[in-house]
Amino acid sequence: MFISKLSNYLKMYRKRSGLTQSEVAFLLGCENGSKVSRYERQSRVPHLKTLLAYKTIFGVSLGHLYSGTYFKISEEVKQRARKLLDTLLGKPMDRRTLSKIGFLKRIAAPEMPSDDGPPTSI
Amino acid sequence: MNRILAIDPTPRGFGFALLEDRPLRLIDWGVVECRRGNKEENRGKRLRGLFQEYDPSIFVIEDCGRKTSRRGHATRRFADEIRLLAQRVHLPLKKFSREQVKQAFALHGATTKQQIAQVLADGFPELKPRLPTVREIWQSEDYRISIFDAVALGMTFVANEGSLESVGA
Repeated sequence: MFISKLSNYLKMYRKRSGLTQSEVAFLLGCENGSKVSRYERQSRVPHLKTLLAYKTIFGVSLGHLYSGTYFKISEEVKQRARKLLDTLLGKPMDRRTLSKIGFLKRIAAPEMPSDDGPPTSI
Repeated sequence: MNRILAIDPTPRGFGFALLEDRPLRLIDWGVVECRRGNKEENRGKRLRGLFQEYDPSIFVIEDCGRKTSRRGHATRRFADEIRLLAQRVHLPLKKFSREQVKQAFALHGATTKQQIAQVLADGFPELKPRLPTVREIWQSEDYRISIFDAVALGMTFVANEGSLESVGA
């Protein structure tokens, strides 16, 4: 059975830090914790400014904070890169096209498994 | 990757822990207390809420049906409710007895609830603030211990099964 990652891990990182939703809201510059709750439940998508604030608070990349969403988007981008690659391969090869093909191949390559945090000692 | 939702039913509600393997990490944990209104209905509602929020791949609970289990009727009924929910959503359910949990943690020299909780708090530092102090013989069990019981059930599943093939997923 394949289980995809959760779309975001904001709650996990917040609970790990021991902060309450209101405290995170204060750090993010929101009025109250209800916005944080909506971000965690995925009923509201944070603005770029808020996302960068989250990155600063928890010290992890946005890819880790939004693992599931990141994975989904990166798969879509890879698919598009493969399509573009196919189009370029049908064209006459010059130095510029070859350079583009090399770049697109790197995008389309399967991703290496990433470290999602410190492993437990148990 | 498996997402394991371990539930520890208590007379007041339940403790829960959500774990992911590969890499092994604790995603969420807590105690749900339902004291007002229709307790059983509220408990079921909160459980379904957790299921909808996290979309787990397996449920893990304590085997309350055993003769050696010291769980009350209400707690056993809730365990049955979890079993029915798992059936309805076609999710595997794995039960472990207290003895199996103790066996899993015996390697770490932990046999009592408090010792197991201490091992878990060492492994998952985020649980340290929730670790209750050692209780005296005249004191009741701290409600937070059900978080550790739930995590212990989840970890027993990880240690014993590792993969879902063995539970027929």
